[in-house]
Amino acid sequence: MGQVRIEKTVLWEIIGFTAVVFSILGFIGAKVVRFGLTYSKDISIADILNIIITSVVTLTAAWYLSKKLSEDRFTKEIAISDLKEIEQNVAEIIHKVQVNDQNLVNDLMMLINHLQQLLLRFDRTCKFERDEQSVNRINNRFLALYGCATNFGDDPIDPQFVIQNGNDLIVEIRDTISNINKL
Amino acid sequence: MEIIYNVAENYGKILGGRWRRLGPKSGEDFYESVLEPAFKKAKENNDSLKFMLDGTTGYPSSFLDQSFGELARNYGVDEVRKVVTFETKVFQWVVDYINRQIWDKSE
Repeated sequence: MGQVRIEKTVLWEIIGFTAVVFSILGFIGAKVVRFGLTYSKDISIADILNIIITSVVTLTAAWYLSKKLSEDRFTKEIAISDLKEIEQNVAEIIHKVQVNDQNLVNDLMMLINHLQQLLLRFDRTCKFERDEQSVNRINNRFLALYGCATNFGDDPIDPQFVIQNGNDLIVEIRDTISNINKL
Repeated sequence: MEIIYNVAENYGKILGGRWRRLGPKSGEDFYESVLEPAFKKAKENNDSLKFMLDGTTGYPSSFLDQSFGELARNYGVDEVRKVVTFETKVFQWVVDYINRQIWDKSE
């Protein structure tokens, strides 16, 4: 998935660069036609300066765009990597609830604490791209999962309820990443 | 004055479920042996009661509901909020849960 995105970006950079070159050529051609400029074998210092300045500006713009795209891509890839860890953790919580062994309380609390740390990390990674509502929705989903997965009372914990809340949390995070990708 | 109670040091690092009959360090036990007496004393003396939450392995939701939730149900959310405060670096989300999922819903 990441490889496809990188190839797409490089393709757009090539298209952009080609478009810039053709625009410059078109601009020069239009000037020649409009003002009736003549062709000469002599090279003036103005021509050399023009080429150097144009090249420097083009290369700087390309470098800046490439750097910006690379940074954005890096943040997105980290967010996707965090999501995979969160999904794995939620799957472990669901498995633990289904197995229901002797260390259930302690193990579940460790998994829940770890999940909270992962969500905090995800929050810090994406904090510039996310809106407050999205943060609240994820927090509410987490608290709902925590509430049902650690409710040790008279009735055993309902695995289906835990699965549903776990899935809701994952879907919420996927939606957030999808929205970040659209930016 | 502020009365400070460290849950991990004074009660236990590993907390249990809702009822005493289900195992040690339950929410019911914490409420009856620690929380309610401390709350009554703090209220009588116009003190605040601060719980230090860090140091435990975690707080099961049933433990919180049967302790801090029960306190709010018996004495009123507003009264409890006036007296009880929390301090934590790790379990800020537990404080959020108590406030939003237990106390807000008890009002």
